[in-house]
Amino acid sequence: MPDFTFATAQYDSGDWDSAPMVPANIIDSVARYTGIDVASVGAIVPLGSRDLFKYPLVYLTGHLPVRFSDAERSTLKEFCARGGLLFIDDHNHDVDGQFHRTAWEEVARAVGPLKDLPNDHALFKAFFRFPDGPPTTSHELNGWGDNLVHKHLQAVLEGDRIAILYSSKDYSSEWNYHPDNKRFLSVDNTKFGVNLVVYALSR
Amino acid sequence: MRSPADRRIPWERVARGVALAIVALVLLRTVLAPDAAAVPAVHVDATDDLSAQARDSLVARARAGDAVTWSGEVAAIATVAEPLRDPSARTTILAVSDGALALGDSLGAIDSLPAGGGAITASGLRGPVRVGEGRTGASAAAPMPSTPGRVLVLGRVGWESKFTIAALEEAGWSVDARLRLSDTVRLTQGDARTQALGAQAVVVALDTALGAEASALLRFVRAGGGLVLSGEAAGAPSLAGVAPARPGTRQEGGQGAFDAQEPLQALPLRPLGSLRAESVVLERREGTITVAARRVAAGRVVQAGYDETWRWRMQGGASGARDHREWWSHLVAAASGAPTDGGRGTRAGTGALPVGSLDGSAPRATLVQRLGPAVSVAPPTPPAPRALPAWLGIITLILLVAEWASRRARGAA
Repeated sequence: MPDFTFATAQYDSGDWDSAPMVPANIIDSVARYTGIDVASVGAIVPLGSRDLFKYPLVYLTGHLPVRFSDAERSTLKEFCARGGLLFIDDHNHDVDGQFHRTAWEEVARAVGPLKDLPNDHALFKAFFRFPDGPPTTSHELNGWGDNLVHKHLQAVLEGDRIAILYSSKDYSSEWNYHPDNKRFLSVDNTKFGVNLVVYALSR
Repeated sequence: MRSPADRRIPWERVARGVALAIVALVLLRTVLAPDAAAVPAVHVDATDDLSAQARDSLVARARAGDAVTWSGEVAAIATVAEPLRDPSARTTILAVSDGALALGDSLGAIDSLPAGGGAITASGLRGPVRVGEGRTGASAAAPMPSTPGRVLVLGRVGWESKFTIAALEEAGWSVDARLRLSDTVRLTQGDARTQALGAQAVVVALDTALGAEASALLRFVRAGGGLVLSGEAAGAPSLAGVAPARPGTRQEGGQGAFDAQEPLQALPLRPLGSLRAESVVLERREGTITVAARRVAAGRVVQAGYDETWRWRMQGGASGARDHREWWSHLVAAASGAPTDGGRGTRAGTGALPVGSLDGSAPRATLVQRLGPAVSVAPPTPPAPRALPAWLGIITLILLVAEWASRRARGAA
C-alpha cells in the first residue's frame, strides 16, 4: 500500500470538484521530486465520513458558498485533533467572495479562527525553499479576483502543527492543468504543493 | 566427769554443722542453678505490625547471640514500587497477598487490590507507599521519577514516522528524527549534536534502508542502547542478528476492526516467529506473538510486528490517539535502560534482601529470613532459681548465735 494518497474532500454544499486536475498534478510533482511512495491516483473522501481518517492530508476547494453539515463539522474537528491537516484553497481568489467568507466562518465554527501564518514557517522550507513565504500565482499577478497579492496564508494550529491551512491565492487554478504541460513552464509552479505534502508527512 | 558446759559441745557442733550445711546449700544452688542471664531469650508477638526499627532491633539481638523467636499472624504480603521508564513521572506499585489489599501513601488512600494482588499505576506519590492487609502492613520507598533519555526515530517520510514522532513527543519524550525523503535527501528534526548515535537512550527504527547506520546501530545496542524495531525495520536483514524473533509474512488487518473497538486487530501484522531462546514475549494477538524483546550485551531490543500503527491513532475509537501514544511510549520505555533509584527501592526478583536495614516491603518474608519461621507457642524460659525460705536464714542465724553464745559461756574461744 502506498505511503501517501492525495485526497480531495467532498462536502455536501458547493462545488467541491471544481479543480479536478490538481490531484494528478501534485501526485506527479511528489513522484518527480521525492522518493515518497505516492499512489498514482488520488482519492475522493466525503468530509463527514469516517473514511476521512484514512487520509491525514486532505485538499478542499470550491467557488460556491460552503456550509458544513453537523457531521462534517464534528468529523473535521476530530480529524484535526488526531493529527490531520486540511488544506483549503479559495478557487475564486476573492476575499470578498462567498467561498472565502463562508469557509472562514465554517472553519472558525468547527476548529477555530484562522490566523496569518508567518512566512518563515517550517512549511516554506519543508522541501523547496520559499524565503518570501507562499509563492504568488499568475491569477494574483494578473489582477483577477480581488486584485490582491496575498502576503500570507492563514492557519489554525494544534500546538505548533498546522491543522487547517487556508489559501486565498487560488492554487486550485494555478495547479489545475495536466501534468504533461509542466514542460511548457520555465518554473514548475507546483513545487509549493510538494512542500505541503512533505510537511504533512513529516510534522 | 564432764561439766554441763562440756556436755553442750556436741550440740554446739551440731548447730555449727547445720548452719554450715544451710550456707553450703545456698552456695550450691547459686553455683548449679541454670544461668538464664547468659543466653537471654526474646520472644515477640508480631501480630501488631512490627515497625522496621523493631525488626532491626530483633535482628541485631539475634546476631548478638540472643535467642530471638517470634509468633503471630503476619500476612504474607509484599510490595514494590518502581518508576515507569517513561516521561510520565508515574510509579507502578505491585503487591501480592492472599487477601484484599489497601494501598496508600502519606497523603492517604490510593486504591485497593483484590486477593492475590496486582499492580496499579499512580503519580504524585508522597512518602513511602504502604500496603495493608488486616493488621499487617508492608511499605516500599516511592522512587524518584526516572529521567528518560532522548529518542531518535529513523524512518522514511510518511504517516508512520510522523505519527510515531507525534505520539512520543506527546508522551513527553524528547525526540530527534532522521527521515528519508529520497535516496539522497534526509529530513532531520532536532539538534545536530543529538543526531549522532549515542546521544539517545533509544532508537526507533521504522525503515529497512538503514545503510551504514545498521552497523552503528548494532554497536549502539551492544554498548547499552535501546532499539525498537517496528514496521518494515522489524524484518530488516541488517538487524536480524539482534532481533528477538523473525517476522513472518504480512497479514492485513481485519476489516471493520476499528469500528468494533479492536484497533490492534485492524493493523497489518507480521507475526513474530522463531523466537530466540532468550527472548521474552511482551504482547500477543490471539496467540500470535506481536511484540517481543531480548537483551543484547548491555542493550535491549524490542521488536513489534505491527505495521501502519498510525491508523490506530487516526481511525481508532475515541481513545485511539491516547492508546496509540501510550503503546508507543511503553515500547520505547521497554527498550530503555533500567531506572536508577539510588538503590532505595526494592526490586522484585533480586534474591537476597539488602544486608543493611530491613525494609518493610515483605514483612513476613523478612522475619522468616532473618529470624526463622514463626513458632507456634513461646518457648519455655528456664525457671528462675527459687529463693530459699526466709525461715531457713533465721534458723541459721539462731543456730550460729546460740553456738557462739554457748562457746562464750563455757569460756571457749
